[in-house]
Amino acid sequence: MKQILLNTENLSKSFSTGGALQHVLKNINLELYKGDFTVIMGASGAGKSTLLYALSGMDTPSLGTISFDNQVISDLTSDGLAVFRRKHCGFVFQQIYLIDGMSLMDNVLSAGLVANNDRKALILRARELFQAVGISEETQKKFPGQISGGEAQRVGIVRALINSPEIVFADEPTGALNSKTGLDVLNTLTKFNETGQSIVMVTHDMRSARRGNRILYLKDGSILGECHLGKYVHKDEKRHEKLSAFLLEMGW
Amino acid sequence: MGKNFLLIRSNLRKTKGQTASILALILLSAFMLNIWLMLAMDYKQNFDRYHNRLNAEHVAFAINGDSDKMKPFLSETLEKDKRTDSFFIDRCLFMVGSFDYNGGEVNMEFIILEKQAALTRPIGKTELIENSRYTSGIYLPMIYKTGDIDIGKPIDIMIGNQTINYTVCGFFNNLMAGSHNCGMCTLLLTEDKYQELKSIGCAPEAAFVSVKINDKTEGEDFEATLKNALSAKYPNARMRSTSYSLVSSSRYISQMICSAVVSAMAFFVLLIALVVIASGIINYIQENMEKLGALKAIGYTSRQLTCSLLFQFSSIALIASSVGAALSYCLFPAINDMMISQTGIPYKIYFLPAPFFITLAIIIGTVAFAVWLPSRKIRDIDPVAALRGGIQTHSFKRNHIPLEGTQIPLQPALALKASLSGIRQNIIVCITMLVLSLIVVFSALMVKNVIFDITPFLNLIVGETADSCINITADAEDRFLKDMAKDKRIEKIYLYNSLEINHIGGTSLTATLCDDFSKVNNQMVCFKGRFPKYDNEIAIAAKYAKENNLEIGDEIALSVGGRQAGYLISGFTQITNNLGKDCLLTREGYQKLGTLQSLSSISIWRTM
Repeated sequence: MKQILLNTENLSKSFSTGGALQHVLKNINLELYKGDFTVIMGASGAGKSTLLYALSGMDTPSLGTISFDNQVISDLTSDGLAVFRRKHCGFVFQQIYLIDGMSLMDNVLSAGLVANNDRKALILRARELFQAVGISEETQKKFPGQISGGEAQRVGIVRALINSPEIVFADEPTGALNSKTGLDVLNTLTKFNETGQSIVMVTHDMRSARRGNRILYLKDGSILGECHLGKYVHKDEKRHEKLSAFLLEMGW
Repeated sequence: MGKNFLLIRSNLRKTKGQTASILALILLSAFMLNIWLMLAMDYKQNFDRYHNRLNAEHVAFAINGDSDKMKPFLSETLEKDKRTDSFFIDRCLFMVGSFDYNGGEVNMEFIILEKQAALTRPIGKTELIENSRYTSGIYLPMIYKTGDIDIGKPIDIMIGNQTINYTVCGFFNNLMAGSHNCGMCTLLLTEDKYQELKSIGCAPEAAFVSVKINDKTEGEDFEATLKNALSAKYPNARMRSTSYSLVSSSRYISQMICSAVVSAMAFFVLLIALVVIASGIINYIQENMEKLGALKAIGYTSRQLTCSLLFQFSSIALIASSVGAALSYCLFPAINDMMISQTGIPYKIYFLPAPFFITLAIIIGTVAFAVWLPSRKIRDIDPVAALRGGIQTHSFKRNHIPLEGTQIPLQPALALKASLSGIRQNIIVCITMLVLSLIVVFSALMVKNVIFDITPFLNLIVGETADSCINITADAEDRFLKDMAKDKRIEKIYLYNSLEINHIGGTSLTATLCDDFSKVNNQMVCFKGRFPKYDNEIAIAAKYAKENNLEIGDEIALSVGGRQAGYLISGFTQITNNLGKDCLLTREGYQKLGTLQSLSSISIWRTM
């Protein structure tokens, strides 16, 4: 029996545009499980990123509740949500958003120190993670402007994992990368998932989606269907066929 | 703290130029603020310290006559007054005189004392600052020590109508009568020279009285009461007096002007620094909206982000203001020398903790406020909105000047779009430019009026600036004026007298008399109402009028030597000399009180 990490009840989100209400998420009831690599797919404007931001406590729902480990987080204040995010979540952004004036190590530590004052332990953890994603000690001293996009996104992953979060939210992590560097990033995420790290990833790229064990398909703000692919195996053709069939069924 | 340090270091790396300019501005501001506070908080207290050390009087006055004969009446009058604490009556020689000083001339009433008697007075002591081997000559107040006036050098002093040559034997300090700012000035003569001057007879004998009172703030009232009593008893005796508040203010007038100018400059520079900081933070937030959103997404709160900015700028302010305040001690000796040449009272420089810490508090406090105010914008940054391209796109603001419907050409339309979409920032830029423009214009005007063309400044504090000013005795006046009337180079000429009169029910006033006020050049002196025109009119200083609830049209009574007359107030003047105890009368108006016997000043304006 899988342990529920995060669940929503009747989650809805609306925006007002020029006086007209736009319903982006509609009554979503969802459970996310510990250790899963959940992928959220859908067409542009389906509400994928909005769902990710709501689940991660970055945004508050218009209606419904979100609970993390049986604690309702949708009622928290903005400061309370900030504390929740720093303690329990890690984030990987499409545009990465490393801070230019800081070295790569400092970028990672600035995210670590916000939740943990044990600088020595953080440095050790950062070095381990950097090593795990293939960033050398020399490169760790460099600044964001001095490295490639793929390296930057791997630093983004290290930053997301520095506080050993229960869950990592990744919003199109390969969206701004070429196919080779994108593949490196996906391999890195897969590697961490294999160690038990829960990941929720938004993507519209089938190659990226294949890494997940659970695929949710969002259409017009509702979950249209889901597909379970099982543990990721490299060059598993059946997995690819199953995902293709699912997406075809969903109208992809 | 660690995370703040990382953010601060990152911000500093990106804004090196801006940080350097903020450092320089704050350093300059702290430099001037500390000087101002040292001048304002401790410099004038030095007067009180000296006052205590020399057991100086609160009221000093000289009255012509035989001091031995006047002593019983003077003692009785002073003892009767409950405000009197102690007093000392001594004899002196008392006369108007002059000597050359610093390219100009010191022209005032001299209290001439025998050196040894002056040094042993129990009240109003005189302190020798420099002495010499010369045993016959004159000792001058320390303020007059210059290259030309120094020990062993000869000096010509005109006393009454005699010019006498003395050797300078040394310099002294006397608090209440030790400079031309005191209303009267002490000169010390060695025993032989004192007796010699006495025998010449150009300086009549007088009683010199030093009085300490219980409450020094009552000095002016005490002085007025005393003068009324003395003028009633000795109506024909020439008299001169001075009080604690007058001397302490007038000896420190340059210090007050200097501290006012320095404080104004310090606050202007600080204001510029604050504007630079505030606009820098506004730009930082605008440019880093997405990164700030990302930081919020990973768990930073608005308060933490604001605190990192507060730490950053407060640290800069702390370092720069500490260095600036410390550097001010390097310049202070030069300022001190300049001030001593004005006050004539030595001041020993030492570290003053209060000004130092107040400087730091003012600067760090205002900088923190200037950071906090624009930083509130960080609270409005929604991480989702920021990550999706900034607040502007997410908050679905109005599409100003839609290109599909406007007839405006592309370039102006885009310019308008940009201006209207950042309207708040543009307003801040406008206000900043407005403030900076005001500062620049004000500074330029100050430079023009204080350095390049000082006429307006002189008109403000001096009153009248003729091309020539000649002192002439009353008996030679008519002949001199006739001679001048023949000279075609002269544009206009008018007569000035300055003397003391008593305002009955008020205090003693310095009265300036003129034969025709319509001739004076600086008509701005009388800023409300008009100058006195008829013999029953008077114009008084607005400061004095306000203190005594007097209005234009009120009648006041004046007295000189026991005679009194009433006058209608015709106008208010902006004169602040003599602490504002000043009035203007026509010469005919004064004739109702007495006859002009002393010197007249004749102001002459030449034609070009």
